[in-house]
Amino acid sequence: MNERTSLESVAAVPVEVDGRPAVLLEGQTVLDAILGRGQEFPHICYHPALGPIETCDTCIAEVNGQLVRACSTTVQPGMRISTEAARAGRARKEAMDRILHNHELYCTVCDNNNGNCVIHNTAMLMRVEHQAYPFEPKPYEQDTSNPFYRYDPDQCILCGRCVEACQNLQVSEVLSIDWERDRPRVIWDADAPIGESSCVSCGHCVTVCPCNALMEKSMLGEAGFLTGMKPSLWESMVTLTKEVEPGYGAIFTISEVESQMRESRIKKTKTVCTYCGVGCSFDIWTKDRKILKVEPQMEAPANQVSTCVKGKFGWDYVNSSERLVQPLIRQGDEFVPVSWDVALDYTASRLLEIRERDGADAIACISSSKCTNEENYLMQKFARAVLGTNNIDNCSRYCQTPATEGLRRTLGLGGDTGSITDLARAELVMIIGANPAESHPVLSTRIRRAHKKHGQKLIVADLRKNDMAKRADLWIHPKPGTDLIWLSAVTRYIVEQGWHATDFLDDRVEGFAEYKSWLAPYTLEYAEQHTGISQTELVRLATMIHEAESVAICWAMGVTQHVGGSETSTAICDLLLITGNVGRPGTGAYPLRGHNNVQGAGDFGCAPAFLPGYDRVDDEAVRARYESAWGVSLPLNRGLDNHEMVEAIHEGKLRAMYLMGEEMALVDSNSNHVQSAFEKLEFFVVQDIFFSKTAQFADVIFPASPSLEKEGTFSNTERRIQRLYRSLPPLGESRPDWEIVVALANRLGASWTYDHPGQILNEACALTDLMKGVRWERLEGYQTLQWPVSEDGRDTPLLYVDGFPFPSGKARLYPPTWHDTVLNPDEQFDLHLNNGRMLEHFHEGNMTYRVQGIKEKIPGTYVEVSPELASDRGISTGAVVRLVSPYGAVRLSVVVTDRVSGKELYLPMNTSKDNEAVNYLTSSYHDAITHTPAYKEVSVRMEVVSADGRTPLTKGNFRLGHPNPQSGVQVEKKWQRKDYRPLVDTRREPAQTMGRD
Amino acid sequence: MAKAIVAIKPPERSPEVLQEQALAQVNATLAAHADSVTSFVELLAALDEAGVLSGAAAMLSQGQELIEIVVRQAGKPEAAGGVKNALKLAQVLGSDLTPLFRLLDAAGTASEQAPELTGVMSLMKAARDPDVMAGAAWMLGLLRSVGAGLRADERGSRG
Repeated sequence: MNERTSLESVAAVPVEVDGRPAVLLEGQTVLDAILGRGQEFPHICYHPALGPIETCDTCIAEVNGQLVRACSTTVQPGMRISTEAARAGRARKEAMDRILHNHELYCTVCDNNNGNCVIHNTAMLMRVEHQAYPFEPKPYEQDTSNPFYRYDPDQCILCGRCVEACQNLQVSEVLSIDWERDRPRVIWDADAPIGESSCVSCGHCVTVCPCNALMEKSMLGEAGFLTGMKPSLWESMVTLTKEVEPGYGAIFTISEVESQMRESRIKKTKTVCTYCGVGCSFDIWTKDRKILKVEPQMEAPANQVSTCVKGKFGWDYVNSSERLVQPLIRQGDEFVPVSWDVALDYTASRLLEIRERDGADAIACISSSKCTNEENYLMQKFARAVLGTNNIDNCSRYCQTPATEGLRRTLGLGGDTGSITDLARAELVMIIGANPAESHPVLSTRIRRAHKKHGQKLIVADLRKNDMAKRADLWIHPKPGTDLIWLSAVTRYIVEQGWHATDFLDDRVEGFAEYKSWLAPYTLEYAEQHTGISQTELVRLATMIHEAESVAICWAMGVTQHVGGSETSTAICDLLLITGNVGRPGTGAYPLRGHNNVQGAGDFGCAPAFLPGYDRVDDEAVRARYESAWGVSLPLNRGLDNHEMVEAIHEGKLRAMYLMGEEMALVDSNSNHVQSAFEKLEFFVVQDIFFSKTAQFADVIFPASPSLEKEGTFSNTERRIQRLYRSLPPLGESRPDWEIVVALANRLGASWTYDHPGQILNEACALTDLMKGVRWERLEGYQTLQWPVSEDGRDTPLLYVDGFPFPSGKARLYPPTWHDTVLNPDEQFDLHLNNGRMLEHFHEGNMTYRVQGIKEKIPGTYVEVSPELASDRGISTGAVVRLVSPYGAVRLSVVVTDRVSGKELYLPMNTSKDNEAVNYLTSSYHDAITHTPAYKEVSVRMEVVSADGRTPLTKGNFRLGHPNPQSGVQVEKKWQRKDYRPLVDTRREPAQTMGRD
Repeated sequence: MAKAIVAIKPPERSPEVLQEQALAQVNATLAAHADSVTSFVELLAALDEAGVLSGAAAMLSQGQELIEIVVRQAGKPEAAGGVKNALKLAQVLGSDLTPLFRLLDAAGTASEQAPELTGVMSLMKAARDPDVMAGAAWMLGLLRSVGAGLRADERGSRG
């Protein structure tokens, strides 16, 4: 996977394939040459995302008279490649025979025979009629201990794709093949059951398995017409198949026919993941309402074949019996189901009534970072054009708005400066206040892979020893909330040493002199004193940045959820500018967006001061454009953000709220304060797929449809707009959110005629400058666009290559302002409470707790306590404690772990239980500029309820496992086995150890 | 003004109402396809008269058990051999049958083509005919193929 900036710089390599000339590029392989001629050619273990693995031997061709593996032989000028040489054909047949010794062919009754089974297709391609070695079962049972997938050793051909994927793509390093055994098998950790290993259930192994050895449990018995039969009948059929085979030809024909029949009832639809901001896209296979599996595709721009546990296995919530399927109206002490007409009419009349009496600004709207761009656009249009207020906001204010502020001050645009591929190619990646291994899993795999295989350096700054911190070349643990200080000290040191990028700064950046003098007080001594990081470490950090050609910095809530969040984000951008790490591949600023469409919610104007495309509401020209396009006068009053809305409700100024897809009662800080505000609302409409905590306060509840049940687009953290397609009809009477907003708007006098989301997207983007070239039609299939998009459809994967969007065309060094942290530990509340995410659950878990397998693994949340603190307080894992802050209290179980240290606690937010939710403890203090709550600045005291008890960790929690890092499948161990007779002519080192990709 | 409440009244779904709704749906479908439905019912009546219907119903209800019996029977050597031969014959039908047809065609005109043979001399004279020589060579080739196959099988069965 070499990144090439221009094809001209790569040499052309002329070769001959079966007598015909062909021209390849330097670095391509013999297999590329053969397949590039449009011929089919066997190859089983090779996978484009993994590179050559060399375990199957089915791709052997003759090159210059010698037998070699086509997948791992690089083309050289003048090579004569023959696929038809008899020796090569015999070698390939022998290789296939060896594979069939390990794999029972029963395709017609196999759940994997859906047109994409590599073994089936290769056996057919090679016209296998007989196998030389009869199948011999392995001496191992099937492993069904993981809730999502199973391993059948009998069917495993030991190709090692799964091992390569786990070791070098996902880099969780769980799988390996034990080649020492008489009958080797794939093992998890040191041969633990899958469900008790460090397997994170990411699904890579299942996705790349070329046969049915690793299968999604949801596929078993469902995919084929005959695969769901009872075991004794199934075994009889397999036996019959073997008795009557004169040759496989006829059997293959039958299985081909049956596989084709499956097409009629298995629907394969492209969608974009509904969970985090990485924006993985993949095909989802459904049979009626059953979800059979998620099948990632190499062409997916953000993730290729990668997924995480939520994206691969977390979809069952869509069919949960707890889905809201009817509109509900509060009557007395209960919600009563009503028809859509009744619910919409009632809502419209109440909203009109309140607007008449108190004015449009007495109503507010909350849009959803989980809903589509089209739905977000309509929500802010509803607020502004129909209700007449600028009171519209979304949850991005709870997380990355400070980062957007920092980016906008210094670089000009509020979005990540590059793509995930840039993170993979950077020479040095810094991760500050983020835990991407659990919050942005697939994105973190690219960093882990680059670090493991391509020499990328990694620096992590975090309070916790999380996964990336464990791997880092340098892990620093600053005092909470002091990142601005050490960042500025490092910057100052770099300038002092003369290491700053003088040419870049002279040509492309303003404000150096002023910024340099601002840096003066941030000496190494000062930083050491205030952050706890030693001067040696700071110098080492600065040196590593200086020595790297390209540096990319990722950050998340550890930076932004502070009173100084905007300022620290600014400091990060300043450091990047000082070192010239902007506007080049492999460099830049990457605030990691947390939700599938939090980027889009902001892009499409769901904020009080911004219209779509980040045009300002108070700009005369902009307002004129929208008034003309929408045919209304736009409200002039400044709108309230979600933080201000809560205060306005308490003050009696805000009387009604329309909220879509947001668990504001639990994810906003200071839940007690927010919930008491909801109690005061005169009229509250909540639109959701489940009966959330927030919905409990509603007067009217609209049942909405999740991503699988609608069409639309999401924008991920790469500014990438991607289309999702409907695979299931809306459940019950639920409706896509955009349909509900249209219906409500029309009842309030709008005459909206949208009947398809494409119309909405085209209208919205045409009004912006940022996305003026975005069209629904340009986003077919797996095509995507990263804004800015010009009129002709050209998009911008890498920002700032040609300048910065300021009048001068230059970026700006912006001196930040230091803010002291609040609620620091004191006598009464002596422990620092850090909070954040866990891999398995998404946010408060309304979706993921309704996925059986995830709930089994993580039934609830728990607080992490350091070994020192636990010993000091006399508690152990399983203890039950009360955590009390000035704002509330929770009660939950303890896990003692060295992921945290000293008096720093960590409480994941992934729960919707009242007694465990972290925001009952957090305050209303916020970032000065953006009002983002300072979730990370809170202290608590810990009251021990019981000093020990049952551990909250289930056996299936991957954190209890012990990974088994290897360089890869180590095929040389297979070659060293006594029973292995080589089929190629020359013995070499395996391709993987030569560092080739 | 609303405190959090968690009670949701279950929808009005009495069994009578549900049945009414289901019946309405069925009636609508029947009415929309009246002609097809009539033909189908007439077909059923015919099958019933022939005694097929009750047998078929019994087979379906026994479903997988029956299939299992059939499959197991088919797996027995006597039956399996028959299935195997049928599959082999099907494969053969797909191969090039030109030589077979040539043989069959030739057999048709053989009697006309047969020479008068009185003794060894007339036999040797007939053998010098170019067509006979060509046919003899071909038959020898046939013998060679059969023999090669026989000897290969012998080697294969020796393991």
